[in-house]
Amino acid sequence: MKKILYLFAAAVLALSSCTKGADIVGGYEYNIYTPGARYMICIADDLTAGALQDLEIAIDMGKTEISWASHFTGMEIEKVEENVWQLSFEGPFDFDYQTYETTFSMTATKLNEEKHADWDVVITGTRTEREGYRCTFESLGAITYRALGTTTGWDYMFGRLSMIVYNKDGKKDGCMMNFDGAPSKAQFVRGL
Amino acid sequence: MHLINAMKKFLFALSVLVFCGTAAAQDHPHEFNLFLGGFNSQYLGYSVAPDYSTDLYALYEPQTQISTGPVYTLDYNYAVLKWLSVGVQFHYSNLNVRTRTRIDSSYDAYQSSMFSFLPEVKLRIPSSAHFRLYGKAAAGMYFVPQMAPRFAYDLVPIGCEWAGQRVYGTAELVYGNVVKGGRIGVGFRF
Repeated sequence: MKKILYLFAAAVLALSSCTKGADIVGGYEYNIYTPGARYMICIADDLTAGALQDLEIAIDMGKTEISWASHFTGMEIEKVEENVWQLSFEGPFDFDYQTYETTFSMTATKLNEEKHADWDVVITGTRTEREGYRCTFESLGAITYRALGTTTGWDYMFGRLSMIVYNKDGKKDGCMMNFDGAPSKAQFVRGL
Repeated sequence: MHLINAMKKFLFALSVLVFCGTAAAQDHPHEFNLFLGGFNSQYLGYSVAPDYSTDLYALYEPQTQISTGPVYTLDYNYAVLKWLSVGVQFHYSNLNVRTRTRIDSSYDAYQSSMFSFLPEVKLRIPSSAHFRLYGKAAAGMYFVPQMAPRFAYDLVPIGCEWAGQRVYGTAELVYGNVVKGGRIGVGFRF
């Protein structure tokens, strides 16, 4: 009996280590509170969640474009099928008061019938900044935004966001943010 | 009449002062001065003010901060005229260089040195034998290992020498991009 228990425990440990190993391969993990992680949170939160917020308002108002004063003024919205919207934006956008030309295209799938709903988001975009720096970003699969009963914002995110940074000399860095619930549980890796 | 006499007395006194003040330069045309001066690294062009922007340049480009000890200055002058000397100034200082890259909050710190070489002119102002005033202007380059040389300037709007003709104390106010504030030292004339 003991042997079976030991074997079971060993199997559980082996499986859990495999799961960890499959997280993000390569790179170096950094604290979620470093400025690099903050930059990626701007993509996931200010940009993606901000666009979702405006999308919910637009759906409520029956609009197909963000025509009111907003960070996303000019963002085009197209309903592609039931509960699925395609968003596209091109223009200056702020990350913590730093404004640069940003473009993105996003597919948002509504996961429930709440007015402030849960969403699956697939996003891809670019941001062009000073001194030849720019980045491309994309979700790897869908990122799930869970409202969990809140009336604004999404407190929980699940999924992966990838970013490649370029400067004048070419690729500078590859970064990944692994969201696994509350923002404090996210994992930030760079050097990919 | 009184005014003319007073003017004559003033001009005579002034010419005596000029003679006394520049006689030393004429008799002993070479001079060396060694100074110790205040120094503030923020005047070095290599120091970068911290940039807390949330943008990629501020995240990825290392930001350099330099702090230093005092600057040692050695200058040599040769009196070509009673009131005019030409020479050269050398500066040396230790540097503590700290670079920070915000993307991963990493720091790198190392010790370095700064040298500079500046040709200069020194103008003597009419003054007394034991208290001599002057001004200086110098321009040249400063060097920090592994960094590009940069333009350096050093202006002394007012400086003074006191005590003897051959060995004397000296102090000056300085405005420049290597030394700013003041410096004090000793001089030797021969």
